[in-house]
Amino acid sequence: MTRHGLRCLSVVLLTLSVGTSGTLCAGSPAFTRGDINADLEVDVSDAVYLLGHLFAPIGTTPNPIACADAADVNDDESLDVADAVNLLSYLFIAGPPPAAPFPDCATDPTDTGLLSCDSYPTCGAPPSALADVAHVLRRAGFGPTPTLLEEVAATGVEAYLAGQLDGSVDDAGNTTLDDVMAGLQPYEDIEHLYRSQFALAILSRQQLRETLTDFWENHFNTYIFKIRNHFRNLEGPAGEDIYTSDEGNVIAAYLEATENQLLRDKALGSFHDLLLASATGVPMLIYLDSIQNISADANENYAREVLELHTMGDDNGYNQDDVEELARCFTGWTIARKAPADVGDPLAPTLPVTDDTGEWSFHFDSANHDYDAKTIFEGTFYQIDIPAIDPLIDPDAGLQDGLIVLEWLAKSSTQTAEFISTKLIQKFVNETPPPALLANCIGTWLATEGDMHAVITTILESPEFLGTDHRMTLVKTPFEYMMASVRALNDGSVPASTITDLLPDARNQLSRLGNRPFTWNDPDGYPPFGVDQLGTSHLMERMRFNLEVYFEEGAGYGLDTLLTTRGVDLSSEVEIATAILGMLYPGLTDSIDLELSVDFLSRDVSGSISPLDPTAPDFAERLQQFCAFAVSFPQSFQQ
Amino acid sequence: MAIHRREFLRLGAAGATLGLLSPLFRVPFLNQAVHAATLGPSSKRLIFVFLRGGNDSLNTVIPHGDADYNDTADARPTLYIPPSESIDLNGFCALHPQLDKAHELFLANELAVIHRVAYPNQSRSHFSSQQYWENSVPGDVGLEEGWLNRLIANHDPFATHEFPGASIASRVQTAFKGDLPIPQFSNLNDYHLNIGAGTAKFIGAAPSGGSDGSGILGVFGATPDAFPFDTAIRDNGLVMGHSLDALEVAGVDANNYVPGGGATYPSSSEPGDFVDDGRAWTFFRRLRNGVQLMKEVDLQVFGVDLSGFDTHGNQAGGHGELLHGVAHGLRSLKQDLESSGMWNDTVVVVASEFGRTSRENGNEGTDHGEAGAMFVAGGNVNGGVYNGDASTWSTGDIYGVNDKYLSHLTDFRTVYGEILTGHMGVPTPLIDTVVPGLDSLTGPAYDPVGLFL
Repeated sequence: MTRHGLRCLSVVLLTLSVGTSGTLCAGSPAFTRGDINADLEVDVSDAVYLLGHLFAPIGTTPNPIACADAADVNDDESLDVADAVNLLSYLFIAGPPPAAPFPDCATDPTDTGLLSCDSYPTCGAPPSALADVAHVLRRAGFGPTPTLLEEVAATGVEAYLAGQLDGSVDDAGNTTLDDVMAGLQPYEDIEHLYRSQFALAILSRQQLRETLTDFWENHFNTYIFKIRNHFRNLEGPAGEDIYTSDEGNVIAAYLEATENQLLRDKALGSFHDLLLASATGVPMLIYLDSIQNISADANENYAREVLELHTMGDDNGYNQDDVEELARCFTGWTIARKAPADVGDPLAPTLPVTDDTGEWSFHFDSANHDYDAKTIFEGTFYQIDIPAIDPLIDPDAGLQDGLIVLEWLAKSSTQTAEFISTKLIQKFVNETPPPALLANCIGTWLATEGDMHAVITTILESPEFLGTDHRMTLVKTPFEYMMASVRALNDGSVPASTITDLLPDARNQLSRLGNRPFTWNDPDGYPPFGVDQLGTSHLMERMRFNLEVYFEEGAGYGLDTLLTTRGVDLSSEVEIATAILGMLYPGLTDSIDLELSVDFLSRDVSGSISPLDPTAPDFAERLQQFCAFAVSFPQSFQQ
Repeated sequence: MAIHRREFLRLGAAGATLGLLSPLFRVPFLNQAVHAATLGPSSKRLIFVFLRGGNDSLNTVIPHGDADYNDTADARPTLYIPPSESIDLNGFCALHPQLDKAHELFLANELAVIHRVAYPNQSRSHFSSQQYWENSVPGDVGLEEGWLNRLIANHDPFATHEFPGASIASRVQTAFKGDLPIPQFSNLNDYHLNIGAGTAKFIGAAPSGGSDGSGILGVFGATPDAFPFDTAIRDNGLVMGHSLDALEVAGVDANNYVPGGGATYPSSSEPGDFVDDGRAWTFFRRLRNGVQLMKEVDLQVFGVDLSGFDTHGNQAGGHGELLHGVAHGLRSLKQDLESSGMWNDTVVVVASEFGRTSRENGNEGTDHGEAGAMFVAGGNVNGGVYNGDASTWSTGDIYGVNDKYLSHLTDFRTVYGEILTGHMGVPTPLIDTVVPGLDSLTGPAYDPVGLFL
């Protein structure tokens, strides 16, 4: 009978799966009081074992006790029958529990030195606890780092998720991130815009927010080169170019970065705010042709996609007539240059296109709005009637047509609640959403008018997310994969210069995989499931990136320090392999993984058998090569 | 089948001890290998070119014989291509003017132009219809298993080939998806781990003969976990490792390939007629990669995509360029393969998921339609026009479905079946495995059109 699983708060737990004894613990080892036979469980066999120690028949050897403190159940600093009685009464007649440390494994808080704990099995959490942490970090962020794995093991995943959800975890004092971002100008340079996304994904403590930023950016996809080309091709009154080719790049970067930051800021806010950020953002107004949508010749492009891709979902509660009516609502939505103080105000006056003091902004052009009555979702119970307006009386009121429908779509449409909840569950839990969880999310959505904090909390606190049923059922997208690779063995000491060096590599590799951010041509966004991107070339590109990170740039990782601070003997291939695999894939490796890792470490860089020697000149290179190898295991592709 | 073919991936060296298998990733079914030992390897090649987006068949193979097509005001006010601007084939149909290089193959009787090809209950979704053309089971949109995968996995003569197939595309084409993992190369010119020393150690060796192997091949070759995608990932990892090895061993140098027969594959450095046309360069690079693999590692079957055919607006602005690329590619394949004596054993299939609306829309484009036109080219193909003359086509057929779409006369599966039988030499019982249910389909759409004499 096991009353309690044992949990450990100690960082050395990463080495647990080595299966070695507790010699890695410094000083008196952590233990669990009551686990007298040191089998990591507190049960009746412990009481029996103690009795076999105290009352061994003549001629037999008493049961040895290596950790007397663990056997001192009542913590009176003596071993006697009272300890066995206390334990039995706790187990069977609801007597008081053993004194601390219990039930969690820890060092003795009342150590008087009368009794000692000479040794105890590697103290700490069972592998499932680290596996739980790693699962949460993979799904609600861009994967574990060794440090984060340890920290969250100590605080628990619930507390970690709470900090991610309520925004109490931020990047104040995150100097590595600050240093990397200081070298980037995402608002002026498209290449820097890409790199800033990578830097934040790799280094931000707000991992949930960053993974949601990736999600919303892809959900509200815009193609940066269409934005750039719009401005490159823009002409002034005399047919002159307004922007040079380079200026077209800068303005596209600025507008995409602005939209991206809005999506990041609102990632856990209301869906209505997210939808408005997209709908009234200059990139979307250009990308889906709103700027060509005028009363004389309505363009359906945005109206169709906002229903199909951004809110209700394909063919989910609307038809072609609704697309056409909705397109009329959006007529007159366009962009214009405005005084900086007026940016974002669609009714503020405009400046000439050639006025360099003006910034590009959402603008409502009443002259091109269709003021006739519209009926959307005609014949359904959610039919929306928009009465005709007299433009001579209140031309600005025409702006409301589109806003009214967007608000209903974001806050009240069951279809939107269903479609976006489905996508979120597919991201966090399973491509096939568990029906009960989906129902909870839709209920939460409708009760909160689309509050993403509430909906995402519903998902992240669900047994479907936290439990084991859906683990490793998703394949990482190329972006998720590469960010996770860079993080995987970064204990926080990797300098900004190394991260900075890796950013262009990430960009190039993602380009080769057709997944560079902001450059997906079609409105549907990058394929959200990595499973379709598992061909031979895709695997090769991912491994090649791992080699760039750890084999080529691995010197910046301080891999030897990563290991020695965790008590790993650098001359032991087994200890190194066990520690690294434990950091990368807790609970997910088997003896063959370990054996092949040891074999890999037992060879020099070109493959000849040669014992690992931490003082040899090729040691660092061999360690780096091994880490590139370990980071490439099949487990690395799944989450 | 006693042993699933994929199992051999994990038993490579055990197979090698039978004296039939390469220690690389050539991994046939056991019984296939036995048959192959008596049949000998295949010399028949197949190239599958998929035009993504829905190619406008009516402006590709232009039916001037249908008076309704020539009713410009009703059909195609801006997109109409008159006889004077097109290349007549048989007095009824003409090729788009940008297909002039393909016309050279037609004149050599090596290009079959098959019009009005589709399948029953046409889907007008890109995704669904592409799935059907590639998995060869219209209606089963979720079947992620392609007809070419089934061909490669089950056709005995392929059993002794190192590289029976490859999907040379940005992702594995559905035609090549299936239980047998097929290598996918998005860019053979850049298919390497870029580390030089240490590559062999990193890749390692697959488990065999009681050894757990080493390196990536060892890890990926271990028993899969129960996670839903673990097996697929491990299989593809094995194919990746083996293919890196095999290309290295064979000395394939994609960056220094020299085509034969005057063939050109335009690129950024040598654009020829394709200036600033990155999409075409990628297409040509992939064709070139495929031909090189045919010559140097005996690749039998490969697939390439060309996208951009979803011409809803301003069709005239891009459709001709795309067709120009198709035609240039066909001619280069002929030239290059002919120079190495392989053209007579090669068939090139050009297909697309559907044709387009017979009337143009308000944006000088066309929308998703029905019957398409296929090209089948090769040294032994019985060239000519099929389903494109007065005996098969009546005026108004361009509106034969819903008064909007060109109706079909031949099912694409019929064409696949003819290629499998007449060219690949696939035995009759296997045809129904590769193209499921073809045996039991009856009616005029399933009568062979006569591609091979």
